[in-house]
Amino acid sequence: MPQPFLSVIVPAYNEALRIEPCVSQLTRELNRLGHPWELLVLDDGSSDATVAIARAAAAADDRIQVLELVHAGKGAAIRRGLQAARGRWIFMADADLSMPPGEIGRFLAAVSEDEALDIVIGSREAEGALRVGEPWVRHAIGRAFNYLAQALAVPGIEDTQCGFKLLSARAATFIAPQLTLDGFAFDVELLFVARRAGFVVRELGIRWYYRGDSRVRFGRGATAFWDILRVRWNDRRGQYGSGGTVAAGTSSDTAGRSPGGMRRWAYVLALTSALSFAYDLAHIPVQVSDSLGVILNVQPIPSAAEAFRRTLSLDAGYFRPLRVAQIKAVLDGSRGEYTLAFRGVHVVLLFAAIFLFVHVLRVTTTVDFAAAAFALATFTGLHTFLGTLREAYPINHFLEMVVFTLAALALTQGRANWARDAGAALLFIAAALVLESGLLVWVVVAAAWVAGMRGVSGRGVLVTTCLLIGYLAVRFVVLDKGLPGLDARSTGFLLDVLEPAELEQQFGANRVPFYAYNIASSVSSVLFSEPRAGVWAAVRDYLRGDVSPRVVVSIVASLFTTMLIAVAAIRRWRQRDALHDADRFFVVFAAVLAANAALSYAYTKDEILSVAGAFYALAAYAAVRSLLVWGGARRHGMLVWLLTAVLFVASAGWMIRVAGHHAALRGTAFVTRNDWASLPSNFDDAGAGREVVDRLRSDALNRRVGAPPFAPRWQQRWLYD
Amino acid sequence: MTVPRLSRLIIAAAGPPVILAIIEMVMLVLSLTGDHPRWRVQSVNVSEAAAIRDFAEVARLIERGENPDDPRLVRQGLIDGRAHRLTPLEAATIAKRDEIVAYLFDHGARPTPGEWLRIRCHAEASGSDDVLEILDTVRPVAVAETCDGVLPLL
Repeated sequence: MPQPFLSVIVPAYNEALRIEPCVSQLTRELNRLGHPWELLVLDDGSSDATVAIARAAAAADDRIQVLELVHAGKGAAIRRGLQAARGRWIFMADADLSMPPGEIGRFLAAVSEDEALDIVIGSREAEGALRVGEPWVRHAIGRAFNYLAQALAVPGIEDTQCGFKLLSARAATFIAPQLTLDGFAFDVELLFVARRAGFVVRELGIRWYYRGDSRVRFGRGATAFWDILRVRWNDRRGQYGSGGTVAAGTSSDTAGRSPGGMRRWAYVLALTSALSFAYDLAHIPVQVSDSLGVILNVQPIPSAAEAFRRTLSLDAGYFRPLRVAQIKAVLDGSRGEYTLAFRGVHVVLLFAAIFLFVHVLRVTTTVDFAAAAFALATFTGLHTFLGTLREAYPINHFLEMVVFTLAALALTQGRANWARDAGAALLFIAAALVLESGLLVWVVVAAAWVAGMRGVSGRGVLVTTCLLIGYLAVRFVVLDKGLPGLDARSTGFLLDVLEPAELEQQFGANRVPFYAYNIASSVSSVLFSEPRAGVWAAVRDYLRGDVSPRVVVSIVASLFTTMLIAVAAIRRWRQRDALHDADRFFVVFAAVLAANAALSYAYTKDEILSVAGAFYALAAYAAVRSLLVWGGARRHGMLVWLLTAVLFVASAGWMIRVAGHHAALRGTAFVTRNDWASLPSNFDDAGAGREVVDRLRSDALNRRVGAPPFAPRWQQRWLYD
Repeated sequence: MTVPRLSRLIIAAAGPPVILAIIEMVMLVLSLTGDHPRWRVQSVNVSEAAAIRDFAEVARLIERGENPDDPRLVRQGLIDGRAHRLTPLEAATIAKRDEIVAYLFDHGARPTPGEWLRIRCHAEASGSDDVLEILDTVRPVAVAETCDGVLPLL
């Protein structure tokens, strides 16, 4: 008989009632998958009719075999099955089929997508997992067991005990002879040995249905706890070999590397990025425009709470009470160190945004790291990010929105619990009361739930939706705040910036085309870096005959990255039964982009799109990661060379754009410092705010900045934005 | 040969950002010695600051006690290919920065009638209407009406 592609091994002990439906369901699913297969029923010395029923099934299909073993425990049966299986891949399945057989295809898709993987384990804790009907006592005991298992043997694996695991034949051949435990803790030993040998293990969230007549009893559970200690003891005694790795150098990129190592490098990259931008921010004085007026307005208000209350009755068209209250709180807490306080908040937000961004990527492999490096450059190189860094009122509320939405996304990853639900609700409340863009927290939570990221449960999404409805009711019915109109502010349209009066003249009779333009140009701005704030700057420069290299670099980097996202998203959509966690970013990005653009209907600015920009970078991560895996596994090269070239051009483009942002921030520091120099005559009547103005001005003038004329000309052409 | 192909792709995707991160890291380390290459500050005198439109530096130096009327050397390349000896007012006029001109007058700049005329003639010739407006508010009593025979600033 030829070697099967897949061997399914099913340990069974007194499973007479379940073995027949189990075998027939598995057979049906395996036939559907279409690979050559074999099914081994591992009878662990049953005293009921299990063997007879299994033998009847085997008689009807020669791909089914029954191994009759002396009763020794599930671990012993699995060990025997791993050694007897002949397939290139071996799938362990519990006879109760607490996981629907339809999920097996997802395990196979995971290993076909990422050839670094040797072991994929079903997990009731990983993202996308669903537990149905499990009593809380049993769940609590299971979690306690996992804490111990993680602490002593397999850190980072959230669910060792799920009975559904896929191993490569290579891993099984290496691991099985080293296993010693016969009882239920054999899973921990198996994963410990696998990790020690350098095999890459991935958890895959599954649907899992609790079967009431579980074979796990309290006494056996207690023994399992003891067995974890035995794993450590065996390891100390050298039971699992000398520590050499079988996987190193034989698989792809991640073999022999610990997942934590790559994650650490991703955080090193994040730290470097955050520190370098923080260094820039520390040199930029507090803005005069958009900031000083607000500071002087809130200064006489007695408290942050009073500032909140008063703002409720101001600002027709806007509803941002927490924004002003925050400024008041920081001003009062600054003890006279105004620049330090406001820039300090800015730096904290910057660190939070960059670290949350890397956190949600969940980097484990070298491929993940490479995609993360690309995505981080995209995130910090996009013009929307520069907009958020450059403008502060004097707290950078759009950067706050990025932090809130990324935090919401982080909550949706992992397993649902009430704390995540509550966190999502609180994030929504806080964000929505700061800016209208805060409503994107709801979009993130809802879109993530639809995409299968259900760390925030359906109940949590419902609560957040109720809060959204409440927000709309308070804003439009109770406070009658309305929406910003054409007179809100100037905004870009085609090749020019139009003032409110011009907007009223052109679109006063019919505003729909103008609003549609703003929404469409916002989408285009995120995807292609054009237009900028509503103005088609590249076209304008072209018509003037002066297109600078930085404009070309910006458009090419964005265009190529958007192409990568489109290609990867289509490819993953076709394989949507086997989505990697990162693939869900495509769905969330699409929702956030649409919603963010819709929120920009009245006028467009780069920083308003900061949230969409951040999620664009997340989609870039998913795309690059997916395409690296695809390209790394292809045998023939033309497409791979093309992909390599596109990746390099896009990546180099983002690198130049990031460098350009640093240069642009230096330019911002120069301009802002000069704004302060011209200030005193404008603020003679500042009254009680005089001390604030004098201190801020003194801070600004004493922050010396190199003047742009000293920068080389090429920097102006290539870097300045 | 899967590994080299994957490595190529990884380098293509991550190489440029990692290189930039290394450069940034080096610059941050250098900043510990007070010399971050991106934030290196070139020392300028008041006239040079006015010439390169660095209003904040003009203000900082003047408020630190620098004399607004003293001529100073403006190094080659900041205005044109030659070095020039200019007062801050002259340099600000050449740069067409009316706000710096106004600031200098507010902070004690008092040109002689001859200097005033040279400055005004330059502003007139270069079409700096805003600067002309300010200069005319501090017109000396005894000063020629025309620019005939006045030495140019540059």
